[in-house]
Amino acid sequence: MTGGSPECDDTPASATISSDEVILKRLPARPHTVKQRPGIGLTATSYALGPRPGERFPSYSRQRITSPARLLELAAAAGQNVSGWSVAAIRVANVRQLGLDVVSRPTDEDPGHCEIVPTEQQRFTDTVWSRLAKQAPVVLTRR
Amino acid sequence: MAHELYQLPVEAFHHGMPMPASVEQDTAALSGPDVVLALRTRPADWWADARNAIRDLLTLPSNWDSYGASSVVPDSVGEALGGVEYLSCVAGVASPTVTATGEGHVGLCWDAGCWSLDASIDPSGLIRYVFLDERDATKNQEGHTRDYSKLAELATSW
Repeated sequence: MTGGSPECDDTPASATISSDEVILKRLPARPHTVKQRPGIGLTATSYALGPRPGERFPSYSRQRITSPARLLELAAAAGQNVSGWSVAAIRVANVRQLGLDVVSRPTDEDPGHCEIVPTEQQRFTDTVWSRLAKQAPVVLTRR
Repeated sequence: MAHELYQLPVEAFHHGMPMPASVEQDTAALSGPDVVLALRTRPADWWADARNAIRDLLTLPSNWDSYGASSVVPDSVGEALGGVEYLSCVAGVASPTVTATGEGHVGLCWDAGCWSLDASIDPSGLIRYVFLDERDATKNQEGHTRDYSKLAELATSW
């Protein structure tokens, strides 16, 4: 893994993230983790966005700290063949509009690492990932 | 519930049609009073590509997404193959995008612009789905089922 916080990590969020910010997610080339949507364009699929088995909250990276290209470099440095991989971008405002929040949790390898977290108003549901996926356009694809 | 009656070049409706053995248990739902699904006598052309894409999921290593995703569970693939073959026999169901979930289950995604449907199939055959309709929010729904005719109903919401 190259970024996820372990389930037992109770490290407090270190900084408030502005709603103007954009967060990024890596999307592997296979299986299909991107979807061409009529009227929207190429976006992530919902299943690429939620927490993984080893994660308490799903990992993202702040674009202002970690560029899309750098995000793929991190995966490559961890041994992934990132040819054909993409990066999707999501506005923090859109996450918050769904009732979720974004908190910064920098790691040694990714100082831009952050997480989407549930709130008292909105827990993680399949619906929120489906909605968020439509607002997660692909901004970079590595040849 | 949908009230769809297709005028597509289908060969037969569900009565008397052979069903894939894996979804035979679902045939009762097809005869419900509110839904009419038109079945083809053979799978749509997209079935072969979908089948290959589903089978290909078994070659994914663990951590295939770099965030810790699990490798895909063979029983999920087996369940999905039977279900998607059935869906390919329903007139009006378009080719899904085949993907995997972080838990290692098969994921299926449709997006018609005015509606979208995401469904994942766990190793026991349980389907978790989200349907979002941009035209009528009252039709939005999240749920689970073992009945592929439910997915067929949603995936033909044209």
